[in-house]
Amino acid sequence: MDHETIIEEQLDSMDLSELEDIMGEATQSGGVFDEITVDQIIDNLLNGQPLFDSDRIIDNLIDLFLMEVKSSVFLGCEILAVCIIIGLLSNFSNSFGNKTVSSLGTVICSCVIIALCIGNFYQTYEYCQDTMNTMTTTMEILLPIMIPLLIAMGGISSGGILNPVIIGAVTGFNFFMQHVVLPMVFLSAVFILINSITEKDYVKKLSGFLRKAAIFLTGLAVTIFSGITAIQGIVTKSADGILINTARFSLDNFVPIVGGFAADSLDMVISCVGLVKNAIGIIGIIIIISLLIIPVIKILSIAVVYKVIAIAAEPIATKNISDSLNEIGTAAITMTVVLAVGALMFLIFITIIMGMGGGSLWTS
Amino acid sequence: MDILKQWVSNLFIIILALTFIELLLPDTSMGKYLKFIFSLVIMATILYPIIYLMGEY
Repeated sequence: MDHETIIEEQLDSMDLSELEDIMGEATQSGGVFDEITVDQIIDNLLNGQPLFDSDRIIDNLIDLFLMEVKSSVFLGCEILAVCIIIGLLSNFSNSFGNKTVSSLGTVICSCVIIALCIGNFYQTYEYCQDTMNTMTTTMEILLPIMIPLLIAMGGISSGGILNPVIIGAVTGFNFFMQHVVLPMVFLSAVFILINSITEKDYVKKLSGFLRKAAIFLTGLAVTIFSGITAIQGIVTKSADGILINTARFSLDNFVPIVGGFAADSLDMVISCVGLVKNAIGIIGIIIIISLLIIPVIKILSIAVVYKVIAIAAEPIATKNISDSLNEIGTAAITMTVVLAVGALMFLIFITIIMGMGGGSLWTS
Repeated sequence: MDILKQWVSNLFIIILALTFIELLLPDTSMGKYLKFIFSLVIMATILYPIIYLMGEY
């Protein structure tokens, strides 16, 4: 019995169809990574081949970014046109005789810009929420596959304790992001836009406060959730180490003649299951990264477009319009940062499970 | 969530409306008093969630 039969048997006994469905979805839309199956990853790992073609990934990323910038250029042109009208109005205000007319026009133009920006930013916000949801679903599919494998290789108390902890943390974090952090970033963007109507600053401090609070809360949530999980992982890992090493020792010494072979083959089976677990973990990481990378690039390109419009509008439009466009760009970047930090936490969870065990590695 | 939505839309509408009214005001001696009162209204709107929470607890 060699390692390949053990791995094949283990793979046959599992239902990976849901995971492969998500994998196909994640790799098709946008297509930064190529589709890859668990078998391929295990083959590549055993034969010492690289998992990714990094040149192609970089090419795909650049293509995606340029395409997204191109698709948001239309919005940029619309906003810039309105900015030019504002510039015209404020320059020709003397010829109207009455200052009220031109300032009324400026306010109306600001309203048009606000309508355009809010429409676009709301799409970005909904997109972020969708991405958060899909990442959570991926985790919820991935964990019931990985945790039994962890238990199969001897991590009885680790699996038993980590499963509820991680599922709770993922669900709680998703709820927290969807109902607190992302709405806060969105509201801060809305307040920035409201502020651009008037010459006087009414709600600038409020929007700054909301944005900083959102970033702070994300950092806090990630630290708390991943800290709890990491500590639980370390503690249960040593408990499992004692258990599996005792089993191995007693098999080796108390069973006469065949005990030594049995103990060695126990080690081999555990290593093989560990390899399958880590291959599934790699699939999970690829799915989460490819789910993350498309929205991040999309939102970053929107942010770049906003920043460029702000730069272009500075000489023609009024000061608060260009300022607020700049701030909207910053708010879009904040949204990507929040999203990326959330994905980082999911990656930490997967890595904690992947880092556990693996044959005689159950020592701590 | 509903109260928050209401608050944001109220703030938006009040700031927009008051800006328009301020622009259309004739330049009389009453103008500066009116502007002060408008700022008070906006401040009260901004503080609305805090007042609401005080009432809850």
